Parts: sequence; structure tokens; C-alpha cells
Amino acid sequence: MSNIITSTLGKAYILYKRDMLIFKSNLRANIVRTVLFPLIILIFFSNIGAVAHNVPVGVVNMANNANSYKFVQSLYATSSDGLFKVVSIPSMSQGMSEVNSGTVSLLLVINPTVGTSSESTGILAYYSSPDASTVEGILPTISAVASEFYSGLGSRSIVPINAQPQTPNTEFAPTLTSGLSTNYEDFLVGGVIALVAVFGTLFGGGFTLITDKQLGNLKALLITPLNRSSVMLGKTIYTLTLSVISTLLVIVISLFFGTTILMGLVGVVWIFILVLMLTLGFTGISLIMASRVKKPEIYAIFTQTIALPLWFLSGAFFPAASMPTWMRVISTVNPMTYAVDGIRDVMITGSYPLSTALPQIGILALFAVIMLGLAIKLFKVQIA
Amino acid sequence: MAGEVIEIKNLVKRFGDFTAVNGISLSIKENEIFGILGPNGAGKTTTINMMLGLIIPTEGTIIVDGYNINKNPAVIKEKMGLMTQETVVDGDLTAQQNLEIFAELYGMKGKDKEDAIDYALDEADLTNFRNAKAGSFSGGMQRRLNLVKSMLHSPKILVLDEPTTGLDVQNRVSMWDRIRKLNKSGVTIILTTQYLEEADSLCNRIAIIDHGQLKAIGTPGELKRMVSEGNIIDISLRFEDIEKGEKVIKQKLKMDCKVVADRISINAGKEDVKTLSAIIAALEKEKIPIIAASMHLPTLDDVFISLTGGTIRDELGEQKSNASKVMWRR
Repeated sequence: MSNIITSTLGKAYILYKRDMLIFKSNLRANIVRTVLFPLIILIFFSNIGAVAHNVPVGVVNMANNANSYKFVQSLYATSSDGLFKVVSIPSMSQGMSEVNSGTVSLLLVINPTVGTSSESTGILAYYSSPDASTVEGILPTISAVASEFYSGLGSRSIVPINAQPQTPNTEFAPTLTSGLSTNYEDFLVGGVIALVAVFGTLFGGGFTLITDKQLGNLKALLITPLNRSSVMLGKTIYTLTLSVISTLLVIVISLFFGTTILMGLVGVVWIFILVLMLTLGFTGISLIMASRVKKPEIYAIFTQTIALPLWFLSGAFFPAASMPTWMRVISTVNPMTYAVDGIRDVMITGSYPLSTALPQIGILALFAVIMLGLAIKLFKVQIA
Repeated sequence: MAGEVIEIKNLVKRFGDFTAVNGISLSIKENEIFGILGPNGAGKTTTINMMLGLIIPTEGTIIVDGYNINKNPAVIKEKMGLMTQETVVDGDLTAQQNLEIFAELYGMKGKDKEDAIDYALDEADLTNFRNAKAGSFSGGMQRRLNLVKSMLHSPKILVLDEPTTGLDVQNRVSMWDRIRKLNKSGVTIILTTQYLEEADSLCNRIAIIDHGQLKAIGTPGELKRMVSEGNIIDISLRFEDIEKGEKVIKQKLKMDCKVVADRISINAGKEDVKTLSAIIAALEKEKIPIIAASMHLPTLDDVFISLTGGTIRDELGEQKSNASKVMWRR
């Protein structure tokens, strides 16, 4: 028994070595391929800025006077343009918790003092950093509406408060749980790391298995004393290596773009743990498909059909809170969501407590176990 | 010739409803060059893949050198080597790396491995190119690398699946020399080919397979004698005259004949050249123009015609045109 295990491991290593030698012999092309995609995404998306659409805006009307009432009515009327939608919220504390959970992107607080004295701070606008670019897109519109009712305030009609709250309001001191970093680029990086890892996976071991099959190399390998497990194991290790390499490259690139990892080196370790767990699950998927599909083209279609929607629904581009309900449901069962969330916590929130980490990694581990289990059952070594 | 190195009994392989191999039994003797002939789709490759342990037989047994393939596949794999029809080398790896991977898969280590690789590179005349990528090699160099790669673990039995298909004349002749040399060094060789003259000159014994069944087995001489103890007469006519010509020969001359495309093949037995003159005279009398006529001892081509009802190339052509139809439909 132990003999079989040693021999399986040894043969898997030889197959791994072969794939790595081939990878190395095309090193430049492989690195360019890995780097190109995140580069393009980061350059374009971080400069475009997201276009706001139906952004949820919560309003806490503490003033409760005629003027504030008219202002809220006017907000409702403006929201029919589809730029944002207004939700009335009874209390400040509920409003803050909704901002922090992402249910509303922006919380407007109308203090009783607004417009009554020249020392008034204006209407306070709270939002957390993941929504920053979205909110900044709609603030001018809201500001314009407000100035109709509170003309005396001028440019201070709306006071945005995000990263560091200015002059903490004694009664409603806002404490933002997330969002020390505020730009969309930082927000994107987490999603890009996850995507590059998943695409690296799908075009890693699985893809080489198909080309081996097509060129006859698989047949040549299989006539040697080699078993199925060695092939699976060799391809899996190769895939994991590729995902480590590509994650490292994306991190280096994003550092060039000025992104910071708030948790530092510990954070990098967490990112690798998350990425490896995610990669394991997708390795299972890619092995099953690669062993059953004959043409690389068909394989590419299948894998992209699976990976792209999962990516979009993982909150990689925009917060899950801004999705319609049906998408949010898919997003909660999507393993990629948990990897993206985790990476983002590590990079831009700067804290990843075990109470968050364990459930997220647990879900990814479950995904990996299920997919690898299926792969062990469904993986076929076919020569043609 | 010593004992039997491979024994196949009642081998059957079904893929769903399709029976690719239907009850083949044969044995291959130690140190012979054994040819397997048959049209495409006849079951040659399936039979070979079963011998190599790549696919599992539906029924029947294969014993290689005393080991049952279902019970000891690993032992058998050590004893067998394969060179496929397509040249299979890793173009991104150097000649040395290509060989190293396979040496290691066969469990070779240290000096054994290095010696085997040095010897193989020398055999393939590639010592000076050991650190060049195989993808930069010419077709002939890649083919030689492929051959020594499949011989790296010194297998007792080497399977060559159409080893000369696609090679030019010089490379084909030099491949034949290599095959004979290997055989002399004690390797049993199993060979499939679509060139009948190649099988005729190389093989000690030949099996002809069609529709998954063994049609005949024997030395080239034995197979030819099966068709005719004497001569074969071939008459080529214009295509539109074939039916008429066949009638003349069968009814007027009372001779047995077979039609293959634009050619009538007649078994003339021990008759002499006068028969040929008689046939030509009879056809001329009916005003049927003769394009060519010949009288010769039976060749493997004739064996093939009599066993499968067509030439090996007809069937190949048919297969190819079917394949292209399928491609168009997609």
C-alpha cells in the first residue's frame, strides 16, 4: 500500500515537473498572458469610475419640520430618474448599521439645526468606502436638490462624511467599520486577484490535459506504468503553482498602482490561503471537464460560461448590496464571493478576525472538498 | 523462433452497440516481426490499445510474457514500448528533457538513466542537439527522437503503429533498417501498416483483420498461397466496360474473377501465359478496349482483395471521404 502511494506521488511529481518545464520554456509568453488581463482591468476600470444606478439612499429626518419634509418629497421626485432610490429610515442608529452592512450606500441625516443658524453643519451624508465612487457620483445631484430648500448654506448644504468623520457629532458619532481606504482601484484589486486565480486554474492543469490528449502525449504517457491518480495529482499541483504565481504577479502589479495591503505580510498569507482554497475547488471543475471534453475550444467555452458569471456575481466590480435580489441570492451561494470578500477585508478594511475568516474559508474548503470529490469520481483518462 | 510472447484469446471490445473487436485469437512468437493489416476501422488500433493496457477488453484474455494484462498491467507496461503514427514529442522541451521525463516515468535513476539517455541520443544521431528544443527539429529528427524515446526502457516488445506513414522514401528505408536492427537485437516487433509491400518485406508473419475479426494469419508466403498456388491475371478496362468484361470472362471463358474498381482480377492457377492471350482475344472480339493487362504471382494486395473484397487503399479512401463529409456537416 505505502509502495503504491510513494510511486503515485513520485510519478505525479514527474508529470508536474514536465508541465513546469513546458511552462518555463514559454516563460515570457506565460507571464505576459497572466499580467495582461489584470493590467487592462486596473487601467481601464479604475479610471472610468462606476456609473451610478438606483443607488439606495437612506434618509433620517431628525428635523421633522416643513422644510425638511419638502426636501424629502423633492428627493423622492428626483429619484424617479433612476439615479438613486430613497428609503426612509426612522433612527440614526439603524441608518448607520444599514450603511455598514451595505443595504444603503448613502445615509442623509437632516439635523433640526439645519438652515436655522449660520453655524449649522448642513445635511450630513454618511457612506462607507466601498461605495465611495458610486456615492460621489450622486452627491452633486442631491446637493442641488438640497440647495433649493436650504439656500443659506451655499456649498455646505451637504457635508459628505466618509473616511475620517469630521467633527464627530456627539449624539450620533459615526463609526465606520469598513473603509480606511477609499478608492475604487483598491476595491477592484480583490476581485481581480480572485479572477486571475480562477482563470489561471481553468487554463492550467485542465487545459494542458486537453492539449496533451490532442497531441497524443497523453497516450505516450499512459503506456508507461502510471495510474490515474498520478495524472490527477500532477495536474492539481501544477494548477496550484500557477495560481500562486499569478496571485503574486497581480499583487505586485497592484502595488505599483498604489494599492496597499493594510494587513501587510500577514495579509499576503491570508490572501494566499483564500486563493488556494478557491483554486482547489475550480481545479476539480477543470479536471472533470478536461477529462471529458475533446477539443480545447469547447473546453474554453464551458469554462468561461461558468467563470465569468460567477465573477460578476461575486461583487468583484460592485458591492453585492447594489444587486437585485435574484443576483444577490446567487452571490451568496457563489464561492468566489467569499474569496473576494476575504481578500478585500485583508486589503482595504485591514482586519480579518477569525470570526469572519473561519466561516469564509470553511465555505471555500467545503466547495473544494465537493469539487475534488466529484473529480475523483468523474475523472476519466481517455486517450482520444 | 522461441516460444510465444503474446497470447490473445477470444478478445472482444464493444463500445456501446458497436463491436470494434469481435473474438480475435492469435499468438505472437518471441523475436518475430509481426504485422497487423487491415483497413481503417477494422479494429487494429483497438487491439493494439488493449495489448498496451490503454483500454480494458470487454471479453477475452491477453497474456504478455506470462502475465495477464488485467492482473499485472504495470509489469506488462514495463515490457512494452509504443511508437504511434503521429510523432509525439514535447516540442517545448529539449531532446534531453524529453528523454529524461520518460526515463523517470519508467523508474530509471542516476547513472542508469544518464547512460540510457546518452545511448538513445547517440542511436538517434541527436547527441549534438541534446539541448535544443525538439520543436525546432526536422520531421525526420523528431521521428528518430520518438523512436528512441519508446525504446528507452529497453522493452521486450515494441509496437509500431504505422511507423512509416508520411515519411519520404529515404526516411522510410532508413526506418526499415532501424526496425530490422532492433529486431536482430532481440526485440519482438508488432507493426501495423497500410503499405502492403512494407509488410511483405519486413514481417515474419502477418494477421489480416477486417470488421473486428481475424481473417487470416500466416507468413506472407502462406497467405499468398491461400489465394492462388499459381498466377493472378489483372485486366484493366474503362470503367463503363467493366460489367461487360466481367460477363465475357465468367460466361464465355468460364473463369472465376473479381472486380476491384476498374480492374478485373482472375485467378489463373497453374495455367500459363496462353490464358492471358485467350482472355485478351475474347475481350477484343467483343470490342472491349483493354487499358492494361498483366500476369503475376500473388501479392499481399491480392490476398487483401480476396479476404476483404477491396484493396487496402480503396477502403482508406472511403474512410477519408466519410471523414471529410462529417467535417463539413459541422
